[in-house]
Amino acid sequence: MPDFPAGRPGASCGTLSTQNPLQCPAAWAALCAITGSGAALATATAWGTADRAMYVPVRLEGSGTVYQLSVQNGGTANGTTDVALYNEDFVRLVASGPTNQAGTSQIQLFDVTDTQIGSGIYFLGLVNSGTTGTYLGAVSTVGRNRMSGIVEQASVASSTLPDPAVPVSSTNLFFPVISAHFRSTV
Amino acid sequence: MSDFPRSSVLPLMIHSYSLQYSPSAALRTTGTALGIASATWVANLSTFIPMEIPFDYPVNRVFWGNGSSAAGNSNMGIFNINGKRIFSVGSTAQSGTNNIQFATPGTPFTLAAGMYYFAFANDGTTNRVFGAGTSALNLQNVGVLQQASNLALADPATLVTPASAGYPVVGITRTQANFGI
Repeated sequence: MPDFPAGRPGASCGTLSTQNPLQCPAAWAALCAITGSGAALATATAWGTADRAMYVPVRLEGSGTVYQLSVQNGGTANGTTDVALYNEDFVRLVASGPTNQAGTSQIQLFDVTDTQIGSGIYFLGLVNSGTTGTYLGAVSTVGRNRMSGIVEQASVASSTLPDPAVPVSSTNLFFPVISAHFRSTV
Repeated sequence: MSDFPRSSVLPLMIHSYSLQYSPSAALRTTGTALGIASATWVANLSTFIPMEIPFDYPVNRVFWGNGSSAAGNSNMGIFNINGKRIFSVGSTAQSGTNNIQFATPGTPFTLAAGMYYFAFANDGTTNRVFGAGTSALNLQNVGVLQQASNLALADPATLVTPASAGYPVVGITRTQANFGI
């Protein structure tokens, strides 16, 4: 049986995700800022800068085993995607490794080494080797990204999320949906 | 026993838009956006945002948001629920536009679990702050208080019903300057 986190009911729902406002301050900031009935994380945005990595903080109350990582591709798939989970000290816990971005307007799953994690602050990292590949996420601002704890790293070698990450302040105007799944079947 | 359940997971940052600790969720339910953008202020107005912090939290830096005009001075403080000042940065020249500005306390401290007011003041008007133009009535609904002509964040505060619109980004973080944020 898959491990579901034993934290607050409803807080994890089987994933640790930048899409969940209970886990990710950036998601709540996006939800605050959206007007009317619009969706907060529903805009596909081109990666823009090749080999620039983004790290989005999330908080897990409880524990679980990460079986899969995922992103949601937009209408253009290009270059390679590397997605990873880091701890608060920016040590890489598990990663997909560079993989061709494949499939448009759908979830791309990465079957990673089963990795048990406990409660804590984590960063979900993403990098694309190109500029035109698009990912679903939220249009943001530099200020919103920084107040949400988002950081980034330019020019990562070999289009690979490094271990450890050495992040600096975010200058990006976007953040992507990235999820770690506590089930092998997604 | 404390009235506040403890959590072993301390967030990186706690601020006026934190879902779990601030009135932001209550403000968002007005049905309109709770913007996080350049906003206009009332010169020397101070605002006091009620915050509920369910754990002891180390304060290594404090921060606020600047709007598209950073020509003035801001102050950030932390007050207890009786209006007693626990900490304030002091009047600080704004630096950086449409961005977050950090300040480091002379002596980092730990804020014990409890209820506090995060206070913010600025001496300018147009586009001086980063936040929302939330109406005074909505601020009153969620327990925000204000004090006019109070850039210094006087101790004790003289807290009154809000008369002016404005909900700024103001917060604390346990991260240090080398964290990357």
